[in-house]
Amino acid sequence: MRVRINSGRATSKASMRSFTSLLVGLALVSCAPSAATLDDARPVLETYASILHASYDDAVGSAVALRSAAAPLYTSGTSATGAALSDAQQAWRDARPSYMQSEVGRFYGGPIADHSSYTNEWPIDEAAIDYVAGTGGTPSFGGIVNTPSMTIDAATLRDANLPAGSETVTVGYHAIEFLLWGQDLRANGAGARAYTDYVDGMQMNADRRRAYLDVTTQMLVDDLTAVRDAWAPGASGTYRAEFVALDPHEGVRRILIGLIRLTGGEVGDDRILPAYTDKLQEDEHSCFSDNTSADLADDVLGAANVYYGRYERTDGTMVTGRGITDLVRARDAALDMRVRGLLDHVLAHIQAWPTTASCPSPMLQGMCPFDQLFLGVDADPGRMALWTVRTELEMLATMLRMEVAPTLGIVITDMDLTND
Amino acid sequence: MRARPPALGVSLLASGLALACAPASLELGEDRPGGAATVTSMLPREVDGLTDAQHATFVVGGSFEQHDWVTAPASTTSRDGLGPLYNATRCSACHVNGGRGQPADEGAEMLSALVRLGVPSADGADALLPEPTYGTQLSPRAILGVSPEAATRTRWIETLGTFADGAAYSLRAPEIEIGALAYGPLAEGTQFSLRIAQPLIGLGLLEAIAEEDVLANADPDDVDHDGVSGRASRVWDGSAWRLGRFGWKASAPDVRAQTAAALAGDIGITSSLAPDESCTISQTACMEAPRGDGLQASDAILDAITFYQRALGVPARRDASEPTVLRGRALFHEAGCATCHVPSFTTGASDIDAVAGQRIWPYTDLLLHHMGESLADGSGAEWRTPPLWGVGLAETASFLHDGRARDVAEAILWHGGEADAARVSFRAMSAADRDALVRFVRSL
Repeated sequence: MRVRINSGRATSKASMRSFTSLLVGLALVSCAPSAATLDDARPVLETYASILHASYDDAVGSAVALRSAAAPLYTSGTSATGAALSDAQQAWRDARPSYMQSEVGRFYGGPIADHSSYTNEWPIDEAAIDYVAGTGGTPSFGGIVNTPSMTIDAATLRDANLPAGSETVTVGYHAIEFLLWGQDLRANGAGARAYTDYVDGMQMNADRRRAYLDVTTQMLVDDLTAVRDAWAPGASGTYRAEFVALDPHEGVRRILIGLIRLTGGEVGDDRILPAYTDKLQEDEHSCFSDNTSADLADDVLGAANVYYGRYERTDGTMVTGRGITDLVRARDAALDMRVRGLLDHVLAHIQAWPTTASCPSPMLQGMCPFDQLFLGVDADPGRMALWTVRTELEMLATMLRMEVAPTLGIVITDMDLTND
Repeated sequence: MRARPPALGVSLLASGLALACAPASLELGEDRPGGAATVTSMLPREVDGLTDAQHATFVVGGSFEQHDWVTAPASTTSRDGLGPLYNATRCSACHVNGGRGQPADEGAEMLSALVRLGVPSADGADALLPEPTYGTQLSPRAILGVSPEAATRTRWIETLGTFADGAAYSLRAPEIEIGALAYGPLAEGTQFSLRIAQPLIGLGLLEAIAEEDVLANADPDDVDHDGVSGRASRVWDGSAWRLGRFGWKASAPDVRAQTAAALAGDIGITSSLAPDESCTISQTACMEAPRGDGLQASDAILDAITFYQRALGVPARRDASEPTVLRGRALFHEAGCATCHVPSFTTGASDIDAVAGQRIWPYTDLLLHHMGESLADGSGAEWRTPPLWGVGLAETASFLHDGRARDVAEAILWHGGEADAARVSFRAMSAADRDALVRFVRSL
């Protein structure tokens, strides 16, 4: 998910259609004597840094908890149980919200840029990791786990994930998800890996599977820790120290790039539209666990956190401060109202979409799995819910780029909305 | 009849003649080379005016262009089937930001460049046959359990030269290094061709040029004796002979065929147009590797990737009206460059509104030309005139089929064969004129 021309269009069709005329508008704004100053933005940068630090800190904490919960699966050839597997699966689900809320910080070359290909890359190459169902249902025992000549350690796996363009994605949340659930081969329901995959004598190469789970969960903790530390307060020479001292326009520009790319290009276009359009059941990011609906809702919640300047931590405590909303309201209160209205709407819609009464499969955490939502005809509640969210995300991204950014005296270029 | 600029000798005597075929001021719309499909962006962007359904297809195609393909069988059934042998895991690995590939640095493994192979046929026909063991191109990567075919690297050989005014230049030519051949030696007489990926912009427009408009410029027997022939590539699409338009050899009649060929050859993804994996019979592990169910890229996916490229607009020109650029434009015509880099066409019908009926400025004739021995390789000396639009936006300049030219001037200096007169003319220019011509090309 690093190269994203996403594209082809910056954020949305509407934005492209009006691009030329808005360029004229931008020029006027920047020449006018009332050009926005952002003297009041320093606290916004501080709040943003605190939100990201707290999100990554929660992500580290929940990744450590995931490792602990999974420990019976990887520590010995006899310690795995069905209960331990369930616990590990729940710990994986619990680890997702904080990371997904941090994704809004992923798109402008910040600390996560050097690590995201090891944390949340998609799609993963599951057949390069472990056995998969072969043609006709016969398991195909390939992958690193079942290739004893290959070393399973962090260095080897990091190498396999490079270079961009010829990499084999075998680590990160989704690789761990595959190790915990196995392939989702059922039309309705998540993957059904048995705990015996980790028990000596019950499944081929259980020892190597244990090593793989051990190594990849530790790598996740390590990557997230490095990113968290880059956002830690009170240290010098960190990304955070540099960020909060930036020219406010540059700091706010980075924040807006993250908001625009996450809502428009990433969630609206890349994560929803292909699945919606082609109805391909497993064209979803958390396809093994069917956690995608919750993932996407937390992505959008992350955008709301940054706009409002607040984040509810995993332990329920709040990080609060000034948000982008304060900057916008001080300059154009009506615009701020419209952004908040749209943001609240899309958040409500994406959090509620899965409660659709007609979910064809069992609900997960109160939500209809993403891979069920987009099936059926356009008038079905699931598809209508998806389309509504997708349209609202596109409108939100356009509003942020074409109205909020100019109001704050910031120009977001096409290049800003391209590569990580 | 084909309208040509005056022959070189004449135009050198009287630059006024050149101006006659290249007005001193811009023609209407010349600064918007894609017509309505021009985008105000340095990056590949969706053209204006797509319908909602077309826009959705564009986004889906972009998703498949930019995400990795993975080993089959995978849960993500729409995205599996990588390899078994491959060069890259996704289109955008080589077409970075929709742009051109780069040759590998000296000693580095190739990624956005690749090595084509062929062996002469027994009957002496022009077309090469696949190398019996390795096929039509070397795949330096493979899925787990299958051996990559070879390691492919490049060495660069520099040659010094001078312009007529004494200024020095250096040109580099590639030497392909092939190591670690995993399936035995290459057949005797194997021919090689190093290729980089081509930019994806404006492909829908080039596809919409009427065949007769391209053929009007062809002159395979050089009946007008200007030293430039220009041969139309004719390709069999399974049901009819058609004009070949895309690829370094103009071997694909449309974007869909080019896309299917690239998916199969470079990523190992089969489709209805290219249903076979690129394994040869002696590559057992490759032959036996799991394929997944059916074609790896369904028609819906192939069509979406195709549409994505067809709907990528062309960036507006930069500095088109600057005096130096306009002077360079006159020199471009004067030197005969426009004979093959035909400035303008008008497109025909298209399902994309912004693409249909547009006056466009691609600077190509889509024809094959003999480019001289110094550009010849195992695949011959004929190359399709590449479009020049967007050339100035290449982040890392790497021009010509193997990326040997590091800037526009080097690319021109490599021209030979039918284009030799243009090269001679450029080499004879003053430094100021050379600079003006290059600035014009970079403004396209």
